[in-house]
Amino acid sequence: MAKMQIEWSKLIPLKKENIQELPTSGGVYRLSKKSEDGKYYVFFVGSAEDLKNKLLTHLSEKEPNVRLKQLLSQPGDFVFRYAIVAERSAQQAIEKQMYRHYIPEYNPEEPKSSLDIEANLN
Amino acid sequence: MTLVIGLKAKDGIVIASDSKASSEITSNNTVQKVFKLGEHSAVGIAGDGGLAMYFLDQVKSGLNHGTGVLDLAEQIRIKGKEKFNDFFEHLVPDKRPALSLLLAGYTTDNKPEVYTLNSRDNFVPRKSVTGFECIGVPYIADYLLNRLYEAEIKVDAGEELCVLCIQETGEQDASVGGPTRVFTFSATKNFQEVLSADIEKLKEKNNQFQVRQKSRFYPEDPNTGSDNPAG
Repeated sequence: MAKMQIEWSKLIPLKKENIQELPTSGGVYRLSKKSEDGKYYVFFVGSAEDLKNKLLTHLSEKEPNVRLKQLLSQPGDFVFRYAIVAERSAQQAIEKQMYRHYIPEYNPEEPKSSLDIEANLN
Repeated sequence: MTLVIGLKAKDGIVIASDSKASSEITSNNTVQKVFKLGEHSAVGIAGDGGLAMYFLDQVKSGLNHGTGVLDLAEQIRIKGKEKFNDFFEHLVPDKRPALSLLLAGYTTDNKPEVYTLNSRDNFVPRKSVTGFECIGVPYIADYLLNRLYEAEIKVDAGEELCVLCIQETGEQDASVGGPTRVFTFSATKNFQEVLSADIEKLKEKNNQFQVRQKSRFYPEDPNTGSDNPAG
């Protein structure tokens, strides 16, 4: 299995104005919500060829994942972090790796990827 | 080793097993461990595979299936004790191989019952008080069934629960494995096997269920990450 080193952002509040600051690069990301115990738990992982556009979609009416859309429309302390990853195949492999690590509640199924990559998740 | 599970559902009985037999150096994934007795009764067996098969052939012959599962349990007790004493009269009880049976069926007034019988105590039938029983390698399955089983469970959900128990045990204990086989029947529906394709679908569904809460153990660390991550 090939190791891949990527650089993650800090936790960023999931707000349109913060997403607008992102580059239009491809990459991977995960969404978390602050729980009653004060910790942030991952509830969704994703990858995109255009991070900014994908994250904005999550906050818009166009979001196709109905459960996710419903969750994000409710009050809550939502944050995200992302990492820039240029290659689409690597994005998908890391998305699958994150899915297996977190088993996030709002991903409807395991992302598909045949690439055998292990990236750092922090 | 083996895992056989029998459970009473609201609308029938589910009996399921793995299909792995193993010795010290070899293993085989094609072993049948659940057998139809009548149309509305079945038995699962755990222990020395070859002995179990021969013992069952001997015990099954001449059983009267029309008198309800309670009487069936008693018939198996008498025959089992007789056969085992015959087979192993040269061995003291502690040195004899052990066989466990799981018997499921209906009473004469159509109530489902599950019994376990063990050679170590002369096949005295033990009636399930929980609605389910496991023989072979029962620990993980017992835990899951204690957590997840309710008497209101329907047969289709019972199939799913049995598959989950065998799947989880197989992932933790190498002596349980091979294709999972599931059988159902009721007081009015005849004994039948669930299609292997349907079992695979249940396994896939279970894969989604079993680790659903994993993210609870890996919260985000707010102290890591950079302001402007580079590609």
